[in-house]
This record gives sequence, C-alpha cells and structure tokens, in this order.
Amino acid sequence: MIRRIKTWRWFEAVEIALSLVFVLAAAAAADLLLRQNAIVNPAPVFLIAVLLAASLFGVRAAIVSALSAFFLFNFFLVEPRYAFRLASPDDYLGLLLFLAVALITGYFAGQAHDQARRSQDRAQILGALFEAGSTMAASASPEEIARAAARAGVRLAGVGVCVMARPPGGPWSGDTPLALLARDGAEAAAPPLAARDLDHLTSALAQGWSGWRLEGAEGPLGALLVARPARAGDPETARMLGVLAQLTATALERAALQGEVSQARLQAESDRLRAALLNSVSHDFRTPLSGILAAATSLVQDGESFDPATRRDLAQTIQADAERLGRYTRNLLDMTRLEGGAVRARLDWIDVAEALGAVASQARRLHPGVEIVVTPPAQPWLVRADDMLLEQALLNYVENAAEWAGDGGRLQLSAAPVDGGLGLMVDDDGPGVGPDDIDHVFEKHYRGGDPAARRLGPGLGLSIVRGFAEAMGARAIAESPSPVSGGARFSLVFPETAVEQTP
Amino acid sequence: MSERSLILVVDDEPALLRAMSPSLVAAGYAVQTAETGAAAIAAVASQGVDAVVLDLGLPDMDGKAVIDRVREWSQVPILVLTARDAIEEKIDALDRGADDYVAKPFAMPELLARLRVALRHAERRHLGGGGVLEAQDLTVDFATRRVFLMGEEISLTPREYDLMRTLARHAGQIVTYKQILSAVWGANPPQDNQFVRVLIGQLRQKVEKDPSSPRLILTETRLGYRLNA
Repeated sequence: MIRRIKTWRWFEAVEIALSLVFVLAAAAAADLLLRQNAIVNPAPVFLIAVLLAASLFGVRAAIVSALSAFFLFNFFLVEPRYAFRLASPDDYLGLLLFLAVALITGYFAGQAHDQARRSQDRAQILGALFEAGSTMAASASPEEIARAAARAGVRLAGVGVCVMARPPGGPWSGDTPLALLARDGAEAAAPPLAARDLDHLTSALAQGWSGWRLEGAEGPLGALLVARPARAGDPETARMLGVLAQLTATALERAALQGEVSQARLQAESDRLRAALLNSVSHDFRTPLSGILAAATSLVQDGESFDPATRRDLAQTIQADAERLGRYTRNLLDMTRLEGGAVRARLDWIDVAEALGAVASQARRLHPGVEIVVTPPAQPWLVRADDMLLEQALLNYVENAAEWAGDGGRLQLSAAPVDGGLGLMVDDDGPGVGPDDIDHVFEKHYRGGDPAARRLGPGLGLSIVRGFAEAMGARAIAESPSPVSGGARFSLVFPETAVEQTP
Repeated sequence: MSERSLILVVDDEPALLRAMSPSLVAAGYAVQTAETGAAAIAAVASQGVDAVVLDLGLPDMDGKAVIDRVREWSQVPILVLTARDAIEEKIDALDRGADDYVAKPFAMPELLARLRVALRHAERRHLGGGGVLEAQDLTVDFATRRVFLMGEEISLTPREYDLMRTLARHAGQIVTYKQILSAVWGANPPQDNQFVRVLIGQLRQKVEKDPSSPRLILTETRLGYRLNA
C-alpha cells in the first residue's frame, strides 16, 4: 500500500488506536481462555498483539501496545484482579519480565517495519525528484521548469509550493510567481518577494512560507517557497527540497544560456545577409533604372518626332522595367524583414485548398500569359502556417516558374503527402534545373550557370521562400525534373505535426 | 451618368497627382486634388465630392483620422492607397469605413476599376435597398432572399444566404472578416475568423464551378473576401 503524504498524521492516530484495539482484543481473548482453563499464562496472547501492532505500524505503536498490555495484564488478569496490586513478589518478577519481553520484541519488530516504510518514502521522494529532473532537462521554457519544480515540491512537502524566478530577459517581478501549485488544487496566494529580499527571504518567512534560494552562478535566480505547516520541518524532506531547489536553479540557468546561444547565431546569420543585400541593391537595381531613364529621356527629348508605335514601345519599356523594379523592391523588403528577424509567423490552421486557390487567382492576374491549373487536394488538408507568408512564398515560386516557363507556359499547383509531411507544390513545364544547380537554387543571388538568367534579376525570390518556410517551420525543396511536368517542381513541405485533416 | 463625378485625390506627392489626373479625366471624371488631410476634410465638407482617393501617409495627420472625420457625417466612397505589406493598416482603414484599398505601387487600370466599383456601390445604396445583383452567372434577389446560378435556384442555409448577401451588397469590393462576422452572426459575433473561412468554403461548394479555383468569391488573404463582379 502506498501511503499518500497528505494523510500522514491522520494515519498515525488510527494506527495507535488500532494497536490499542489489538491489545484489548488480546485481553478479552486471554480472559476467555483463562476462564475455560485452556491456558495458565496469558502473557503470550498479549505478546501476539504487541508483535502484530509492531510489525504493522512500527516502533511507536509497539511501545504504546506493550505498555497498555502491561497495564491490562496487571489490572484484569493477575490476582487480585481489577487492581494494580500484585499477590506475590513472584508476580512482580513475571510481570516485569513480560514488560521487558514485550518492549524488546515490539521494538525490533517495529524497527523493521519503520525501515521498510522509510525506504518506501525515500523511493517516492526520489521518484518525484527524478521526474522533475527529466522534465526540466527536456525543457527550455522557464515556466515549464518552474511548473515541474512546483509539482515535485508539492509531492515532497505535501503543501502548497510556489516558484518565483526572474522571467527570461525581463525584470524581477516578485509578486507573480512563475508557478504556483497549491495542495489539492486549493487556491493559494503567493507571498510577494522583493528582489533585495532574495538573500534572506525574510518577507516570505514572515508570511508563513519556508524558502529555498535558487542559486545561480551569478547570484540568486529566485526562490522555491513552501507553505507552512509543512513536512519541511522534517530534516529529510528539507534536505530533499534543497536538492530540488538546486535542480531547478541549474535548469533555469541552462534555459537562459540556450536562449543566448540562439540569439548569437541569429546575429551572425543576419550580418551575412546584410552584406548580400547591399550587393543586390548596387547590382540589380541599376539595370531596370537604366531602362526607365533611357526610355523616359528619349520620350522627353524627341517624343514629338517618334511615330506612335515607337512612343508606345518606349512607354511599355518604362512600364515593364518599373514593374520589375517594383518586384525587386518587394523582394528586398521581404529579405530585409527576414534578415532583421522582423518576420514573425502568425501561425493558424490554413485550409490548403483555399490557399492554393487564392494564390492561383493572384498568379493569373500577375501572369496573364501563363496557364495556371490547380489540382484540388484529395483530402481536406489544413496546415499550421502564416497565411501571408504562405501566400507570398507560393507566389514567389509561381513568379520564378512563370519567368522560366515564359508566355504560353503551364504551371500546376497541388498538394499531396510527401516524405516527411504534406507538400504544397508548383510544377512548371520550363527547361528545368540542371543537377549542378539544383542544390543551390535557394541560395541568395544564385542564378545558375545560364547567362540568360541574369535578366531575371536578383535571385532573391527563392531565398525568401526558404526564409518564409523556415519561419513557419516548413522546408523549401526543389526537384528537377518534376515527376508530373517536364520542368521543375518547387515545394513547401510542412511536417506531419503541422498538418491536419478537417473532420 | 449625366454629370461628371468629382473625384478628390488626396496625396502629398505632386508627381503622383500629376500622373493620375490625366487618366482620371480621360475616364470621364472631374478631378480635385488635396495634399493634406485638413484640406481633404474641408473639400469633402464644402463640395459635392463623389469619391475620395486617400493616401494614408499624409504630412499633417494620419490618413485613418481623415476616414474617421469624414465618416462622422458622410458616406462618400473612400478608396485608400496603402503600402503593400502594411496589412494591419489596411484592416484598420477598412474597419473604420474605407470602402476599398489599392496597394502602392499600383497600375492606373486597377485604380480606375476599383473607383468604378465604389461609385456604383454608392449609387446603388443611394437608390435604396432591394433589387437584384448579377455577377457572372450568379443572381442574388435581395427582396425574395433567393440566389440563382445560371438561372437555376440554389438552396442556401440562412447563414450562407446572409454571407452571400453581404458579399453581393459590396459586389466588387472587399468585405473584411470583421464585417462578415457582424453581418452574419449579429450583435455578438464570435471573434474567430475560422468561422468565416468554414462558411465561405460551404458557400463556394454551392456557387463556384470549380471550388478549388474560385472565380466568384475571391480570397483577400488575412483581410477578407471579395465578390468578383
């Protein structure tokens, strides 16, 4: 039987009472047996009761039952009965011998029991600590760590526990605990704890809480507070709560360090991107600008002398280059937001069919010369994605494919389960991507070996797709030749955890 | 139209005003320009402006404040010009009562098309409710609450009809999630756009030839929907 910590005191009282019942039963049995002359000496009957109480309930029960047996034995069963007097010195000797035997056997039997109970408790405590430790090791979130600590604390101490700690990157807020767990889910208010009080925890102590500091390498990180009255008074429990506090402090520090490391990595990545962007502006914006300026200045200078067809041609040059410049600007903005870490995916469950349809209708407007076909997904899929990022990523795929496929080309939008999740795919019937280039298409400014690709402008579109995909937890993948069309296939693959089917 | 509609163009970029005016005039409109929000409000108040093309980035005040002020007394159609990626700004402007938006940089035919729709919508509203809307193969009869596709009546649930009616009343114009939620769910609408998406999906199944490639009810990602009329 596993005793629950919260019922400790109640159990002890019952145990003592039961021990007394055993002794009373023994007295009654002995009385009966004596009357029927079945036995001469009732002492063994009492000893059975004492041993029973001792082995079931421990040393304390053993002593209580031995003493009560001694008195009952004397009072009821030894002549003169119903008095504490004894008939002869022999009786004294016998009675004292009985007391000694009862105490000694009871003590040893009880100790064996207590030992067993202590090991059981220790196993429980270690179990609670182990569970908290493994939860903490698997978690990078301070809130989760604090909750695990509070859960273990409640199991150890049997009372309400709260964990106060500095929130990651934020200032100390001593009146909102990271985790607060009351025993049996009862409401409890955490004691406010000022930062300067972290060293001594006096304010918490004054409000009826016991406290253990969460010691970090550079001073206290917070405190583990335990409501009183607690078993915390018991030195063993107190020691274990101390261990729990250490465990929690270590886990919190590790979580904070992990955050810093990923920050640093982000910084390095963003420096690299910035350099690439500057490159893009200087090279790729001048080309369309040159076209615009040349066409516009000839119109201003000699417009009247041109025939209408020439004028129209120049105006169309301005339009085409301006549109191209508009696309570059948009890509550059997207890239800048990506590199600056300003792209925050707002994840929601997005209907794949609707997203493909929306992309197709925009793509038809932007590329009227290209045939765009949507193959509706076989299942009503939902993906966890950011609607804007998803749309822009697919549109960039379409834009890239449309430029390669050219007027009269055909694009196919579809979605299907692929290796590792659900793929949203754009297939084109363009020339495809060579095996040397396929692994590099998502790199910034990569245009492949084809010099004709230079006119397609900066290779930002696909890098943006990759950036947006990563922001949503998806992957950008290129294949050539496409399994369904003659050209290339570009897809966004969402992991299985981010895919659902509508009921 | 017997009389030329007067369009107020509010933008602080003179080059853009110069570029837009000839094409608006060629499309049959009279054009008035304003370079500040205050001038725009004054112009709407004092002259019979038929529609406003409003840039949201003005030197003297926030364009959205201009919408608020104008909407205090006037239902004149307002078309806002916004940056492409300013999605929250678009939502905000539309919810404050702008009729539609055009993202900068834009092509003139697009602006003219939106303007035409906005003027038509205002005219319809001026003529009062009721009537019939026709868009592609779709016919919505507001008086009898009946919807026809290529002449065949289709049966809609009450919610689907309310959604259809809301889109049809603003045919050609964007209707935001918020507007749909309050038009279909009434006084205490749910705050979750997912309700709208599900209902749109049901309606598309009934009115689109190919629900996977909608041509009638277009998605305006994150903003809302537009009946293509």
